[in-house]
Amino acid sequence: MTAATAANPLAEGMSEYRSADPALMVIFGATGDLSGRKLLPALYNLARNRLLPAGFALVGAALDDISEDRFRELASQHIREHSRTQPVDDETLEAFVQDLSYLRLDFDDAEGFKRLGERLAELDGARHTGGNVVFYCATPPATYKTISDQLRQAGLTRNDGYRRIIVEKPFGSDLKSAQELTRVLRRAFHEDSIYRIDHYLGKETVQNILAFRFANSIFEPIWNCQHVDHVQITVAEPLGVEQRGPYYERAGALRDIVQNHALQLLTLVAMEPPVSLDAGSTRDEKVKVLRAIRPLSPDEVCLQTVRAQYGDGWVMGEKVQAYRREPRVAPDSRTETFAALKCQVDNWRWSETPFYIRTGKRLPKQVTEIRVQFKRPPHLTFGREATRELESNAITLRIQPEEGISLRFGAKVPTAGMVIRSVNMDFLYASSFLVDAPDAYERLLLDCMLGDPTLFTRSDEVEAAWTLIDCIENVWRQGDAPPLETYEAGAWGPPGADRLLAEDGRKWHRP
Amino acid sequence: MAQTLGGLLELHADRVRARRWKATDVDLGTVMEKLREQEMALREHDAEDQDHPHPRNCVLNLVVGLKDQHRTTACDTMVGKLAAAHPLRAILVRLHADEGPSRLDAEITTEAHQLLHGFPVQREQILLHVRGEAGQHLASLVGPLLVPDVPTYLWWSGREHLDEGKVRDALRFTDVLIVESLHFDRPAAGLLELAELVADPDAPVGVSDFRWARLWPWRDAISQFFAPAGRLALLRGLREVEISAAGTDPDSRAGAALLAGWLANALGWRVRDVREADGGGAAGGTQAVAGVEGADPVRLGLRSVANERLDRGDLLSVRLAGRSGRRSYSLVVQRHPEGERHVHVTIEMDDAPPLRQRLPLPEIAESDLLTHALWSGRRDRVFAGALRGARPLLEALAS
Repeated sequence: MTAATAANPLAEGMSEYRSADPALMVIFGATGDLSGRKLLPALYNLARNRLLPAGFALVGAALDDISEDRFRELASQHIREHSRTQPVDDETLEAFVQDLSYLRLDFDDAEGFKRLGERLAELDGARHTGGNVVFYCATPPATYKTISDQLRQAGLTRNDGYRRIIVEKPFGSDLKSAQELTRVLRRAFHEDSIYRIDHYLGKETVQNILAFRFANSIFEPIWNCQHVDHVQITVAEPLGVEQRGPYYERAGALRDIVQNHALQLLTLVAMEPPVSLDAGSTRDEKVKVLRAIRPLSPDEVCLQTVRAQYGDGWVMGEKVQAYRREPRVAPDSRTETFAALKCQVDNWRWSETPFYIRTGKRLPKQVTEIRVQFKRPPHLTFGREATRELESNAITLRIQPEEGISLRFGAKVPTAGMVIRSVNMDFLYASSFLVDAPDAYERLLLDCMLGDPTLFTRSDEVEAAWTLIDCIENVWRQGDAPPLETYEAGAWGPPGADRLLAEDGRKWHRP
Repeated sequence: MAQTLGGLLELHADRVRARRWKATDVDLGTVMEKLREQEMALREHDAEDQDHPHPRNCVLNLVVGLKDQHRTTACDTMVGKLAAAHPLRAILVRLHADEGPSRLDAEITTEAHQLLHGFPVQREQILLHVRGEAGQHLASLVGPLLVPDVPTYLWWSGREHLDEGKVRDALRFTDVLIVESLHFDRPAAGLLELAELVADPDAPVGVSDFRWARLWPWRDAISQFFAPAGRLALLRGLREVEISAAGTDPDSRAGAALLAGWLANALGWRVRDVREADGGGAAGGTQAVAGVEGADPVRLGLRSVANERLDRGDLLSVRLAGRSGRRSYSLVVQRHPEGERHVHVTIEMDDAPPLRQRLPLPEIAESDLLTHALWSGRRDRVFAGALRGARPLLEALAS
């Protein structure tokens, strides 16, 4: 909620009311996949729900030599195909595409950016947008520097209104390149105006972690090392690398998932309650967690991390081939498609409570979840036989696909004797609310126009995460330890992943 | 109705397990006994000897007053959909007009919905056909059937005035009263009665009105206009408010009065000098002056305009105009002249070319309005404020 809406006496009582100041948006790479599949449908759905600011207009900018009408036509097609809400409302769509325009733009061409400036000035005058513009880089990371510099040189980064830029992950490939990206963007934009988007954080269920932890008084008192034995974070997908071979060859599972998604989930589970849910407070607490994670020494990397690559196998009833035989992947590739690691968060709350992370491709199913495993009772009154099937209490926060929360606890089996067994109490997000949750991009695009960066990643977060990942990457790239294992596609990873927990007397939960 | 990014999903039929029971001329004790039996049967369905029974979920009681079979059938379908999002006990009371001896017929529907594990009981519905004098004593019939410790919503879809005996009786067990004031026989008088109910912030009964929820897109368009920080100052210079509604009589302006009341309350205006103006023929109007003490007055105008396509009282247009220093501005929100699902918004600022936009005016189904009412809190301070602000206008319309 922005200060502007809080001061508007007519906004009172509209509990979900979020009204952004009038603004224009420019999408660089407007004819690309991200724009067509995600951004344009998200903007359409915002229009459908009357959440776009008054006077909103969009300028699509890309290399393709197409007419404005053709761009509108393509936009309509994409929206019809990919909109979250179906069927598409024809009248809303028609009104929405009328507010789209297109500019052919070569990112190396300074004249093109001047033309963009003229177009924005013209639209600003006609639509009373007060000089507010959001620039969205739906382009490969390598172009961010050029676009940012061109915008600066064309004088488009400063105005009476706000000028914000959105860039997509990955934010660099290591600490050094992340710092360089920040330096380049800051030449043109203030840090407050740089929105690093990780769509994962826009998911309702990720945000629900905060609600679960901080809106309920019964969990927080036990959310610490006194009661929690360990935490498992799993980000699994059954897909292989598909057409992303060249990118994945450079990234690997550690950079692709652990550096951002998995560590973000860890921070949300481990962070202290923020003073408020404003952007600064929440991100401050997340950074504190990242800084409290003990960086692994080279010896610890060998003992506490696992890397592996999938071989041939069967996933969800289909035979799939090994990573090294995927298209555009080197036949002798040493890129990991599975990573597991053990982290220690060195602070008062989590001292000696390990956080285990695993992620991989070609795992049995798509699942993202956090399992908080509690300690066993100090004494089991009912005896060994009665509690043979009783497991420790656990809370599982499921992010996808069936978003929800499960609580596992012991209950007496209804027989004459005293037999205690684990039962689950499930809260299923969709079945409980039957709400068609908004797409993460809808939330994040609106947040950016509102000037609310809470769900975007700040530069210090990015850098703290890279600091941890670089410690591991440096060891992995230099030698053979830990060994690059192979796992059968369709399995839950290599034997080393099981050993990682078994050595601590624990085992992975089967999602 | 607050705007939201998401929408309601429907539960697939193959995830529903149901039991039904029906009887004529029964007593309430039998109904309660059968209700318990059905619930237990579903909870134990498929549960092996050593398994725990499925749980039963309930977050609210919903009591619905019904006057005809058509509404009863529609309501049954609606409650079935609602139960997926709001596990509930629904008590549908069909009041029959006959004067004969008291008689009770009952139908029970119990449903379990498949969630992640198991089939918790989500919906228990009792349809009571009430004949004779018992219909005047709803509390005695409904009270024993209510699930304790969860709020009770009374959806009164009839056209009776709130001061009628049976409604007053029903309010004894009610936490939130849900009405559609658009369908009141005398809407202005009905809104005044609602104003009376919510006037006391500690009153035991909250009120939710579908008409108020339907005003949301109009309120949203107005609120959005003033939302940018640079435009907030324009509120102080507001000089004219004109609202038109479909209809030909003073009561058709009740919704317009409610919207004006919302503005008046939010902006701290006192509404005075209300007078009915004869528009001649099929149209009429209400004029008033509003504003804060010591400031320039705001001219309020409510107009009725004959319209065949819309319900009496549906809004047709809103115009706000004013000055701030040397800057003049106007905002016009006008219902689409051909269709009904869009409004045209025209913004004029000084001499700049006007900005024209078309915004969706969603057709909000009754089931969505009911869902929203159940989802919202028990107290709607803004609605209470709007009723308070509208009181002088409503009194003029009702007189």
